[in-house]
Amino acid sequence: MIRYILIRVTGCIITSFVVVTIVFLIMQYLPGDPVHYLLRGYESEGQVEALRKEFNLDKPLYNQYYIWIKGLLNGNLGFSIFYQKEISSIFIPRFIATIELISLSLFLSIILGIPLGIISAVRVGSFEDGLTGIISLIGVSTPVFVFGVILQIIFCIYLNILPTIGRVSIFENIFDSIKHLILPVFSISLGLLPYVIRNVRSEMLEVLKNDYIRTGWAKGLSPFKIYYKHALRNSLVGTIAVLGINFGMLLGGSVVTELVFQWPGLGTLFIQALMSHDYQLIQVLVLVYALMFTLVNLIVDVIYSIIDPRIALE
Amino acid sequence: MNNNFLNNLQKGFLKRKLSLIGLLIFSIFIFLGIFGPLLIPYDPYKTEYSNRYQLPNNNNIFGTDWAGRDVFSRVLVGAGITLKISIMALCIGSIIGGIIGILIGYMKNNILKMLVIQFNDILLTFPFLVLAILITALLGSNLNNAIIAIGISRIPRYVRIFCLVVNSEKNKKYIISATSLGASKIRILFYHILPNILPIFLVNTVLFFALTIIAEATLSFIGIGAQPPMPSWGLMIRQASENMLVYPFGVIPPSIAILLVVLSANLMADGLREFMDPKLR
Amino acid sequence: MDNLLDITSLHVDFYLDKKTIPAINGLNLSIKKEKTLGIVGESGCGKSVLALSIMGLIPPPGKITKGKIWFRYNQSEIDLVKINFKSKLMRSIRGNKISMIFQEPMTSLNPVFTIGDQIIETIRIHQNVNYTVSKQRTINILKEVGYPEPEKRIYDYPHQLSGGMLQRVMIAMALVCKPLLLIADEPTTALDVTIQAQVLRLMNEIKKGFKPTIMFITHDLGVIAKMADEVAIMYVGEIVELASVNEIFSNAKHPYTIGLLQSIPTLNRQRNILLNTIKGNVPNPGEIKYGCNFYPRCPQVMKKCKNEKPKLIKLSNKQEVSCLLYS
Repeated sequence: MIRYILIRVTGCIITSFVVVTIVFLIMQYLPGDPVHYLLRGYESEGQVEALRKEFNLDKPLYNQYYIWIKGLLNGNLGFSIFYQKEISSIFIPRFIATIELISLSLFLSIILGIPLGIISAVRVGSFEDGLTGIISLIGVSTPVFVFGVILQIIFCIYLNILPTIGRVSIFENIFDSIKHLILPVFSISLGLLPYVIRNVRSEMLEVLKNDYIRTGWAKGLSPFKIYYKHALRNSLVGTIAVLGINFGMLLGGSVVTELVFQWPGLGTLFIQALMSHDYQLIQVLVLVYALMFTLVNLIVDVIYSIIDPRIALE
Repeated sequence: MNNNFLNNLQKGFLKRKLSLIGLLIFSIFIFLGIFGPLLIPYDPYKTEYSNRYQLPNNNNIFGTDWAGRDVFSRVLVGAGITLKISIMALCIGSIIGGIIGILIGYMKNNILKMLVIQFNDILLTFPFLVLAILITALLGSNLNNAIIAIGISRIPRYVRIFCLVVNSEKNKKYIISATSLGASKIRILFYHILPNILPIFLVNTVLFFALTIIAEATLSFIGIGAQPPMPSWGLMIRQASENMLVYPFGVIPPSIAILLVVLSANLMADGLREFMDPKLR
Repeated sequence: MDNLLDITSLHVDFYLDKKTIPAINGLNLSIKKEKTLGIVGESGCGKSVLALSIMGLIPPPGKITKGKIWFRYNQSEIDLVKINFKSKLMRSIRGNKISMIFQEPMTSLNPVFTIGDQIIETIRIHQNVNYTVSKQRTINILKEVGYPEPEKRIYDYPHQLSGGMLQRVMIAMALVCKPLLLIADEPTTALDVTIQAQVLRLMNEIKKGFKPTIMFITHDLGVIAKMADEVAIMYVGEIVELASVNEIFSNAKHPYTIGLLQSIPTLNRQRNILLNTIKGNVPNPGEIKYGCNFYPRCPQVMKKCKNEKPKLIKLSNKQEVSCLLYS
């Protein structure tokens, strides 16, 4: 088991580096120069040259690449041309901010999605089932940023009870922090929720047809135990798969939502870096995204084998 | 075989009323997309700063935006833009994806084939938006690049579909007998194998249509897709949200437009899938 | 009274496609304490529905529409029909006072939990004991059903076990709370003949042990001969003959019972003679509205059978028949 994890983690790292190398190469051959962006018309030839030298942009490709990799392994993430700072100092707080959003949204989607999915399955064809189905359909048909904007209009402008944008750290003031967190987290969850509900519902419908559910009733188990212990455990594999597949959507949703709420996370950082062709920053961010993504796939696979003993023994 | 397919299509699909509603709304959308520019009451690009932020009234059915432009006209023209974008992106995705998929399906080297398929599966789960943002931003922030980016992101899906079907069909007996009768590979491909793809292809394409609309709206909202003053629905929402404090209503018309079209596409896809599944299983 | 269960005038209907199908049509039955009652019938005669009625587990769109099921224990009796089948009371009876084992052991256990956990779960919901005690009781009951090395193998998962072993686990799980009534719905039908023999032997040993009352459902007359004290023959939702096992095999009265017995192939009969069958097909429930359900197929049919419905009549202390031949 441990060996398996180690192999997979190495695989993750390798894949991520392949991705970043590709991005690195592409960026070199595209129009747009960070130095020009920075100087924005105030440049003279001499200044451009000097800056390029400072950022190693005059050195041959493989040299730049080598310098960068060496730096990474030493914990030096590089230097952002736009922010004029070491990337490491910008990176960590932004990373934490995004992780806040993503993990809370995931949590919320699961907490809400599973019971709703179960209720829909248990009361198939009922009013509750139909209603949940319609809401899911609307949820799937709406872009994530629309959720964000509409929530802003309702809660910030009309009702005026929540702040429109920004983030407050938990360590500063927990109530303010929560106020700022509610809407963005809800936005992202609303994007993921329909998928969770649909999946839980269809898996549960299949699982509930099984004989062992009938045995559970015959043993005298309470409905709660039957649905949340016996049935859910068997539905989880499919649900975790869906969450894993839709993690990409979670990431994407977080980028857009960060924009809507001006949340100081990786998403807004990424967009800014792209707009200003901040090479080093872009590289680091793509690497981070790639790592996150492959790591999540790994975690999903590991969880599979824990939940379903039949898979582990294969 | 095709006859039977169409028959079943009519029976199963039409039974579900919701799918019909979806079809209806979608047809309206296509109609408006094509003929919209002929039906608009005002010039969607004409600004009239004395008439900004109007709520729906007799002159402007959907009101006016921050620049005094008639929102209804803009939404209609936006339908055409959305239609064009989605068709183009889907063409890119399906044609390139189809070709690659067929090629992979015909590959002889099993190990290599498996590796490629694995790689494709990983691509499938990539965070699409991050990828699309990256591609668009690197190539330049305009609508055409957004279309290319979205199209590229659809490729792995189509590769998978085509590869799967070609792979499973090519070893079947009827193909072998057709080959022995002297049918050329191309003929076999188009006449025998591809019709089998039709159901899955149809369902998936409708779904992707929905996803593409959302993708374009998102990219335009971020600012790296359609550029102002184009009345792309996503861009309209962006501009409306910037003026949220003064004119919150502006967000509504384009949002509902997106919602209705994507909803109709999803309903149709559900209906198609409902009747496909028992047949294929 | 030494009747553990008294069923009177039971009616169970299923509502399908806007039609009402009477799965059980006015059934009366009693099970004596510590005796084994065998229920014999073809597929679709309603024997499983009968069992599920007692357990309160009839799946929708079915419903008990009339009748009473009196269950006697602790000097009191309750009507199982009256209790809300979702209530805590009913749940405390299932698995505890009345247990049921089913036909397909391979799919009747949850594949993601160990068999030990599933038995322990049964103990802990009905009895107020901690985990260690439950675990010990589980090991004990597994020993009793002949499950090898229970201390080690309570950590087995269902997919690791064979059908015979799984059925033993099911039996253990059903008996661990020492129920008053055990309902076995075709427990050996899905097993190999040799395993079948083992399981039946096991059940007979258990009968000698703590003497449960058993309702044994099967379509196999051979199994009945081994297991039952009394036999009830069911046909299209009704009981057509009720007798002690000896009387059934030596002195069956109802033409259907006689037909069933005659159709059992024997080892020493001649090769090229056709097997005996009962002519015709089993009618759908509710299809025959007037008269005896069996009249289209009965070799001893009389004119009045078409119009008059027979009732269960006591022929002797050990035999009751529902046939116009004897009224």
